[in-house]
Amino acid sequence: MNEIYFNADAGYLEGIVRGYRDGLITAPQYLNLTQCETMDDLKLQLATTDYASFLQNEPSPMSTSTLSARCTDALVAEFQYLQQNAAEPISKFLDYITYGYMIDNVVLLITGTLHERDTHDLLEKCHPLGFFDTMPALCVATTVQDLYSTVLVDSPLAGYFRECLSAEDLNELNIEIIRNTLHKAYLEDFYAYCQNLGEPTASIMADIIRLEADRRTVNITINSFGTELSKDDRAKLYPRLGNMYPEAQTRLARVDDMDQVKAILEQYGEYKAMLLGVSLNSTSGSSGGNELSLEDRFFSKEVQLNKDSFEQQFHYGVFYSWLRLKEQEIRNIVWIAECISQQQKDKINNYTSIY
Amino acid sequence: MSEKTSNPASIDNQLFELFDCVAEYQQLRSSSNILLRQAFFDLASAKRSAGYQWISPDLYSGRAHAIATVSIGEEHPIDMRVVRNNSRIDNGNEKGQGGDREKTDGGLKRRSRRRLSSDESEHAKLTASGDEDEEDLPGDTEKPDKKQRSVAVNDPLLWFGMLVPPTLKAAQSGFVSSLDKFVQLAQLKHRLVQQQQALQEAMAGTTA
Repeated sequence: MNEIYFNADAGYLEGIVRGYRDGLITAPQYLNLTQCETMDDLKLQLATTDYASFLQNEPSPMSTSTLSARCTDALVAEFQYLQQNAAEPISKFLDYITYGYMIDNVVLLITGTLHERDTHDLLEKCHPLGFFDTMPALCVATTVQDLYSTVLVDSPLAGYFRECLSAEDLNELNIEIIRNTLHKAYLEDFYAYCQNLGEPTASIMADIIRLEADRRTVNITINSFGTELSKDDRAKLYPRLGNMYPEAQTRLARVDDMDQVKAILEQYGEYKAMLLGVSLNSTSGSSGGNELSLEDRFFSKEVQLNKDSFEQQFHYGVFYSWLRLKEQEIRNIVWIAECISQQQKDKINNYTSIY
Repeated sequence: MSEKTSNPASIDNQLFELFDCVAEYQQLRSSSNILLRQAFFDLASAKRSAGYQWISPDLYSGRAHAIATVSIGEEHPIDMRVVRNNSRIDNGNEKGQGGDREKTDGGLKRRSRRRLSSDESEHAKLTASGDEDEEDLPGDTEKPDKKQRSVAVNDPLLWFGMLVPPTLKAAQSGFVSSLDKFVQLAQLKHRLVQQQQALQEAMAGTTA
């Protein structure tokens, strides 16, 4: 029955997003990009893509940070078109997607205020997809209680702050805990919301969100080595969903090095396959031309799931998947640009091709 | 010109010393290039991993100050040394304390600086470049075998959060290590110029 009424609400937008999907850079185009010698060459090659209008007015030489910003502008423009033309229930789904960016903006503003940065500069650097009305007032808060009671209580993030209210003052450690706790609450809430949307959205989004939860679990574990974060605090940051919940997460919370992480992941079939040929001591392409890191494998897996979501119709997962694929594409372009500008041609192929 | 400096054998020795110095300079330059190149690459990897929004100049602290400087002797410019601020505070004193709050006239609440050890306001210890104790590098903030782990309060890595990718830590380590090599390069360059001048004077003395 969903198929009968879906097009009435979201058929136009699904057509739009499938058109966006067709505009993603293909493997032959990536090959052309990797053969560029300078940033100007890269800009010329990108003139045949969806980023052309956003890059054409940028003066040469263009930096990689500018390239990243302009590509993000292109993504934001396309997503905002979807939002502006969406009605319930698809508009709520698109709003849910933006909550992740809102969390990042909140943390950016709090961190910048803690480091005595100018608030106007900070507001300009916030992600446009995560902007909400009371965001500028974040700069005056100094405790989590202030943060909640003065600013966030009327924002979409209010419900995610319940688990953060035990933190007192805002310092580096607490901000990191707040950030990851918010993302955890958001992921769990988004998962529950998608389950209520019914099939096929529920099953498609379940796979994608579970992978995201697993990726966050592994990243939190690896990044917490050698920091002040205690093992108990680390465990509290893991999302309560995913293939690693709860058994693997309980064990990952106790590990101290990469070898132990690998030993745990190898006991799970799908992650054992992911670990084949991975150098755990290297990260994104830093070790050599063909060695992949665990993070690259997660990116590849995520890309595969997001591509697969387009194989079905009449579900909302295509919107989320297109956004994630577009972000991966931007990541690829900027990586290629960095390798060109740093003349690291042997590592330029460490991107995750989409089509 | 003395007979000693105009002696062909002496000139030969000076020439060999110059060549050795050039070779040392080139070797050091090559190693520092490799170190810097890897550090910039690690930084790019960290940006890709954590997100370009999270590792950018936008997160630099507004009260950032240099934690490493190069002192140059006034009488002997070749006497260059890396001076590092090794101030640390105990984790036990800092934990749970967000610092005192005070209101400014503009209504924007600010945190006062955390109380630091008295060493921070004094001149830092002199450390000879090239003989740097690796354990004192700002990037090394953790020593798991210590009961009370100290945290470098001025560690720039904290600007980007507590859970930064390992590549960012590697990049920081690379940039910190390369500073010593730059000072060595400057000293070598100065020595090269001096040797070159001495050699030219010696050769001029033989032809006179």
